[in-house]
Amino acid sequence: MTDIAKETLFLDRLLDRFEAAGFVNGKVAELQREAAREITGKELPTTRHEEWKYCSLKSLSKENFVPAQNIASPKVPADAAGYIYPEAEHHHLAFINGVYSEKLSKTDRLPEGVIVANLADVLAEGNEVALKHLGKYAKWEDDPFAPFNTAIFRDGAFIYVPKAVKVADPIQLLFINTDEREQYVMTPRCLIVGDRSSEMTVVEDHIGLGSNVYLNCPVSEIALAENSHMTHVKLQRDSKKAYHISRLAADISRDSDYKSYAVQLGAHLSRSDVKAVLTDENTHATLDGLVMVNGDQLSDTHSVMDHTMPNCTSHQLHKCIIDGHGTSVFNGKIFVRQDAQKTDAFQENRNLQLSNTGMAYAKPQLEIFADDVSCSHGATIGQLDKDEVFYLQTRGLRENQTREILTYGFALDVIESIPVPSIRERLSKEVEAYTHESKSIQELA
Amino acid sequence: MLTIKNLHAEVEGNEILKGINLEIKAGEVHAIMGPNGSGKSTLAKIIAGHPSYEVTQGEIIYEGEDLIEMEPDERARKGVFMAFQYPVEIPGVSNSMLMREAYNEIQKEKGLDPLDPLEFEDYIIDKLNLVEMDQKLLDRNVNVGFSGGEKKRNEILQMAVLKPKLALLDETDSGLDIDALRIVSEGINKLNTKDNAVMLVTHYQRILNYITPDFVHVLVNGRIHKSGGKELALELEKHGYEWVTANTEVNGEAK
Amino acid sequence: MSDTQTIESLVKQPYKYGFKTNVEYDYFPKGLNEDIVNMISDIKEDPDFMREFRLKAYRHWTTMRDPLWANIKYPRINYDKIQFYSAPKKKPRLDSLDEVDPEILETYEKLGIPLSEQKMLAGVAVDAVFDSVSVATTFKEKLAEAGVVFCSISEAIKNYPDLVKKYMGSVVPYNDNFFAAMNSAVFSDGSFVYVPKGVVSPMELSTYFRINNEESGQFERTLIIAEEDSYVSYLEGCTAPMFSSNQLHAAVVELIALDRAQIKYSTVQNWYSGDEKGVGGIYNFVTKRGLCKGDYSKISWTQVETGSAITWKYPSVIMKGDHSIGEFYSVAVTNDKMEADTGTKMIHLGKNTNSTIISKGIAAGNSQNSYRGLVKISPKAANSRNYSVCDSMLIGDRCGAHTFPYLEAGNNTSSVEHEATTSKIGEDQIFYLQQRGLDEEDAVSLIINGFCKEVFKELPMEFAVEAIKLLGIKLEGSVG
Ligand SMILES: Nc1ncnc2c1ncn2[C@@H]1O[C@H](COP(=O)(O)OP(=O)(O)O)[C@@H](O)[C@H]1O
Ligand SMILES: [Mg+2]
Repeated sequence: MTDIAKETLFLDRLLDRFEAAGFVNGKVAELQREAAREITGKELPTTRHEEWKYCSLKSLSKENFVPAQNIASPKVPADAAGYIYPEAEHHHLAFINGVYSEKLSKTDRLPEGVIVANLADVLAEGNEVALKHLGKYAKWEDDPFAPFNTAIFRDGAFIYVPKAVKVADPIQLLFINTDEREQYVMTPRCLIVGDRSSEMTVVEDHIGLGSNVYLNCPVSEIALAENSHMTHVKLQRDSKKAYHISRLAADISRDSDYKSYAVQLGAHLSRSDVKAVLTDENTHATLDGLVMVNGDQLSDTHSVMDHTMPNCTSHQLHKCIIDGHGTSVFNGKIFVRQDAQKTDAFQENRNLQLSNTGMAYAKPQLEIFADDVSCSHGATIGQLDKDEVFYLQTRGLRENQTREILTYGFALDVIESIPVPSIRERLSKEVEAYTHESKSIQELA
Repeated sequence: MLTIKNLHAEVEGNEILKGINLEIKAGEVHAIMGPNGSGKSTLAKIIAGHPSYEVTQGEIIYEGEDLIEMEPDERARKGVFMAFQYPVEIPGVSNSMLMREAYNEIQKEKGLDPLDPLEFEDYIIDKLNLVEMDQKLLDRNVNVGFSGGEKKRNEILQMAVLKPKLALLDETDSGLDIDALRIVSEGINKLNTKDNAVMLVTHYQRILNYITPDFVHVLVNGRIHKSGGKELALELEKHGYEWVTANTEVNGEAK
Repeated sequence: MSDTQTIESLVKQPYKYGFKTNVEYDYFPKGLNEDIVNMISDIKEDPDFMREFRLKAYRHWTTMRDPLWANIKYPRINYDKIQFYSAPKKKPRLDSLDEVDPEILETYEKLGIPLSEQKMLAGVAVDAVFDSVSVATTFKEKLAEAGVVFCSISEAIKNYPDLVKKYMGSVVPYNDNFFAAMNSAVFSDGSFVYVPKGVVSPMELSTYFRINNEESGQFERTLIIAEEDSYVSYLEGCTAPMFSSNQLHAAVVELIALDRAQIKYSTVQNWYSGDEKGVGGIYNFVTKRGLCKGDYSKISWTQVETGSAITWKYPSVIMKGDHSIGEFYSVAVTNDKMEADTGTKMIHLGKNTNSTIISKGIAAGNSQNSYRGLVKISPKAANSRNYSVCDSMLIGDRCGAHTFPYLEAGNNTSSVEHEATTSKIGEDQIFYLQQRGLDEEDAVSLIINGFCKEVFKELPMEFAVEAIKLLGIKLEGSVG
């Protein structure tokens, strides 16, 4: 056992390196202080902790990070703007290593009243909506990472869509993480508020440019008022040596609908905790996911679908492809509280194990306290269907070709639901590259 | 056999039946027609005793007894049978077992001996032929995985097995193709004698080509707007339901 | 009256087995310490290896804590207040029924398990365990002819020490978990079965457990060994009187199947579950585990859990032999304030191993019903398969149904498939059946039996009938 007195705890050590963000608003400053107090003296969870059973933070605790702001001139490539999706050409916010880049951002042609801006600026101006919602939803019991982000965040995205306004084109939040010698840590914060009957699509894109070690610890909070609609696409393409530990909480009001598609491709260790709270009647939430791991990547998704009121529906399709020595973990909880009669909840987790050295862990969980509900979950861990492989071979395809096609097909139904064409294209390429590089597919052939 | 007087009924506070009068005698076939949502199924379910519907006024007299206070199973054992518009699936409960239980309950009621599984099998084979149904469906769970047509035939099979006095057939024809419709209709006709009666709920005139009703009643918005003989159905087919509401006073009474 | 209310009133039915038998006991000091463990060893005239096993377990137990991870809530148990050993005073000579206290014989008769020669259940050999001690075993001779050993574990320790020494603790080690360690220290009796090579047991073997003493815990231990190419089917039943206090039951069951052997273990658990307000009832903490040691061996657990205030139980199978098979079929019914956290572990170690889990949970009243299961396919267990179905049914809106499956797979030739659904007894289903002339009670029990059918069909005939009746008692009753 380590001697706690002598060795400073990982989180304390990190906190120490950050100066106070310096928010003048008393409420924000207090929120940050409170969060800092919450994690002071706290150890990182170990695998003995049920929620971290398959996700060891040992290697993380040994790393030494500096705040990303300290890196004076990050190596931003000249063509960084190329990461903007054509659909988001007019409205996007960009962040370099978590620090807002005005130069790369653009917020043209937004409908009247819509705000898309750096969160730090918005808070400094004392925006009421932002102050009202900040810190209200991102709460997890026993979790040090949400308070860690809260304690030290500075920049991030703030999106507000007013009553009955539809933002037709997607809004992109681009997080570019550069290849540096120093190991840095960043804590971008997103707050997205949709007022009554609003509509928007938000694309959150995390890109690692090198193969360096860094810690990306973003927190997103989403508040949807009555009858609003939001589609949220998250792409995680962090460096293959990075740590990506993210938290996302969505609070969904009556007649509203929140659809989230999260695709995790990068990071050495990726852990995302996602929570959707259906706070009133007739709401819907989708939490779909696609995970592909290879090498010694570990990707762990913990989700909570919380049905608190009657007549709501939820949908969750989470697919994982495991290659090399990769590990995928899915822990999906569905709660149906006592008042949530007539809930219709569906969850499916499918794992495709390509290699003989990968590990797949699935823990779908139903906790039902109302009787008139229809809930189901299914989880499978398996391989490509032998009959399908055979069928394609009889049509003249080589075995590795058929495997590539079928693996691609496996990933496809998550990708196809994503409503932004250029992201679907991007992802198709990523999947193709993944299957193409797959040693397991080639060995089998 | 059945007398309904000034029947009002509601569900969750909404009045759905607004004063129904209906008299059905032994040997008669009554067709209840009307647009979707007019209360046809509600009427059938209330006669059968569905617990979701509340009778707020009026009476339902069947064979001299008031039905309203009776449990649904008691009504069933006294010969009231309903073929459901949407037959319910019951996982884990075998079709033949259900029919045997139900049949034996009626035997008991009559003071007769119950049939054992083998005797019952002999009994049911004939009935299967009546609706041209595959014997395999007997061993399956009640309506689970049945096609729409199979479900409807299964309802008529149960009717054949239980030999009710009063059959309430709720849209037994909907969704059937012509062949199935013919088979089901012929089955119903064979079961029809001078001692029993049929209340045939339908949205379409089509089934009346096979089953000739003695009376046709048009139910719109919880009231019977017009009653007549079989020719009324043909007129309806020609003019549509609006024709009825446009041409009659509200509160048209049925004989 | 709404349907929900009617269904709820249907599920209330008094406990039939709640009477207490008046027999005298050899009393024992309360609490647990080394002296107590030694005293138990003395009474049992344990050989040295057994005494050491107990002491080792005890010492380890003192370093452990109650497991808190399960989805059950109960006041911390004060182990100083529990009597860890209890036996009826009149000591039965094990080979003669005449020596058994007539009160006890009568008890079993009342429970429908006659032990006397004339009335014995045909085709089923019974070992009756009263509080902590085996009081009688029927059909011993007949079994002996076939070479099957069926006796109390105390006798086995005396007569077959080598087998006991070799296998006891080999599947559930003394330090496995808190309750297993406790049992290993203080177990007083239980059943022992040995089926030699190539023998198919000529009849069903059965143990009937009865807790009678209010202050004692019950700690029995069962060990079943099936040699190569043998087969045995074993049944277990349990009841207890109604007390307003809680009794602790912490049993350990170990099964070992060698090459091509098959063991089928069925339980109908009907311990007293406490009253409507949650007063009284058994705390049932049981460790049951089977080891498919040989190739092509098979272990199958079937359980119908209808009693106990608290159930904490995960009959498991370790599939070590290649081509071995593990099965778990379970119906767990909870009512009033009962809490059940039950399920299984299927550990695939050998190649081409296969497991099936069918779990049906029914929750009524204010109860909580959880399924917790682990399916683990180790990297070496190539070409292995698991298939799980966990269905829950809720009756009323004050109860909870929970599903906690853990799936882990470490190779690319195996497959794991898990499905779970939650549903209720639909008003429309009941109406449909009533429309066909069945009364409400029959309609409800028909639906429930349909829901559990896949499990009931795994029970031996004699037990299936009893289980269906029992479920009926638990979930039917007068429409009130
Ligand atoms: N259980 C119920 N709960 C609420 N509304 C109902 C229910 N059953 C029927 N209704 C309403 O009553 C009206 C009549 O329905 P129904 O009797 O099914 O019509 P039909 O069979 O003529 O198409 C419809 O407006 C329907 O929505
Ligand atoms: Mg209808």
